[in-house]
Amino acid sequence: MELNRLQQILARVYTDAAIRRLLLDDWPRFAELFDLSAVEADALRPLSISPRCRSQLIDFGDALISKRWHAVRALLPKSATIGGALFDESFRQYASSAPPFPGVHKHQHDALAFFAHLAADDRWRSLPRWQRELLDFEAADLHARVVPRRLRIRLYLTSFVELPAFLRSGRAPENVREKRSLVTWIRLAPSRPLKRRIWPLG
Amino acid sequence: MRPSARDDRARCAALDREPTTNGGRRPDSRVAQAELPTLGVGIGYRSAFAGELLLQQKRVDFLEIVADHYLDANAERRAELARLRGLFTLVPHALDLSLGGVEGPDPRYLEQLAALIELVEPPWWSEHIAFTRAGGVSIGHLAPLPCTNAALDQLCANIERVRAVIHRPLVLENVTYVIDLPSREMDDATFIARLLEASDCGLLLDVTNLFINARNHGFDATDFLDALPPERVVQLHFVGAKRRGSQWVDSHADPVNEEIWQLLGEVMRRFPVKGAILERDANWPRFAELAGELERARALGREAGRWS
Repeated sequence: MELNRLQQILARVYTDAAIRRLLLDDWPRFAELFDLSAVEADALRPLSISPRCRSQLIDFGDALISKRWHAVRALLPKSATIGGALFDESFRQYASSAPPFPGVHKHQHDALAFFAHLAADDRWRSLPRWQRELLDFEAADLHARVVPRRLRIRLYLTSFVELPAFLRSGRAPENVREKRSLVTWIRLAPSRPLKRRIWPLG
Repeated sequence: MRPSARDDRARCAALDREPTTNGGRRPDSRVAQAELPTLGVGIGYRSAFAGELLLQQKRVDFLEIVADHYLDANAERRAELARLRGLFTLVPHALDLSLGGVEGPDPRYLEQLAALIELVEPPWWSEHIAFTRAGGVSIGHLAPLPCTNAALDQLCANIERVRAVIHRPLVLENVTYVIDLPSREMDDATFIARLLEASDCGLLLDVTNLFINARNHGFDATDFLDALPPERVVQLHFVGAKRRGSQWVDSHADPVNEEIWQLLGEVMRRFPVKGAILERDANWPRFAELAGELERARALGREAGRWS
């Protein structure tokens, strides 16, 4: 089997859970999807029928998702802490159908795309507002570090005066107040450091 | 009939004769192992322990940096790199060249990597024996290659493209693999030994990856070591491994296991290595604990006469 074809098919099988399931459970449809020649089918068929290969394939797919999950957790630590099981479960669902991003900022883009997926979840929307805003803040902060833009402004309805303490401790602040905060991220030029300020309002 | 190392070299030599982008000058990027400096024992730099590292910098001989973290870097990352360069010898470790990929290295990534290596001026740099994308799909991690002649040729061709723009010695790292690809034409050790000879590259022998592959795929790690050309082994990686179900995994999150210490000692005795890197990525203990592992590895190298 040509190396090019083998790599193209493996890349799809490794990163797309639905295609992996086809290979494992519905070989004829898998062969049809990739229009496999007889030689190619002979080369790949053991992955579908050998119990050892099947188990390895499932393990590798899981390992790839697990590596992405670790990277995204490290980039969105507060979301992971507050989201708990919802964060983990939702990430597995997201990553099963969303292939990894290319490029040197792949994990950051993965984290931002996952955050958008999470924010659309009804269970997520039922979290207290201060938690949702704090997590929005975390994603906006990551975005500011990755995507070049001179100025970014977000308005929150929660007082973020307690935010620094929360960010240090990882525990919920007591008596969160409903008091508006403006957050600005400014980077005057790509060579200049990012400056973030939290402005309590009124 | 099994091709010989001479056949492999001839195939790569033919690639050498192709026009290069540096005016036909043969790049100075082959690995003359004996001429490389001895670096000692260091650690893969992660910002999680940056503060403690600065306080205990005398316990670290050199740093390996993940090259991807400093490509297309923002001002904070560039400042971090400048600080590290002032304190340590740095060895860039690239993740996404996809050296085994039929599509070849991404030109933009290669250009950025070349600029980083030019800036850092390392004694050598490293990449993995793997592919990371195909057919427009990024796999997001290192995917193993089938141990075939076609994969060897592809690696050689891509390495030559890389050498046309990066003029520093390249060492290649063995990866772990979960899946036994059905099209295998030779064993892992033969594949790697032939690759090193044909491409004239050094080896970054990841001792933990070797341990894990040997356990998961039922071969003897010392047989693997027997097959390697000793003068090609330049650098080592080591970290703990753990068992998950029936498989060993490279979590990069655990203290070095006693069996891996034993294998590391064996490797140090056999090969004239120039440096070893502790590659810890998560589950951080106090830095003093990591420094203790560095000291133990340093002692193994000292006993083997690799450094004083």
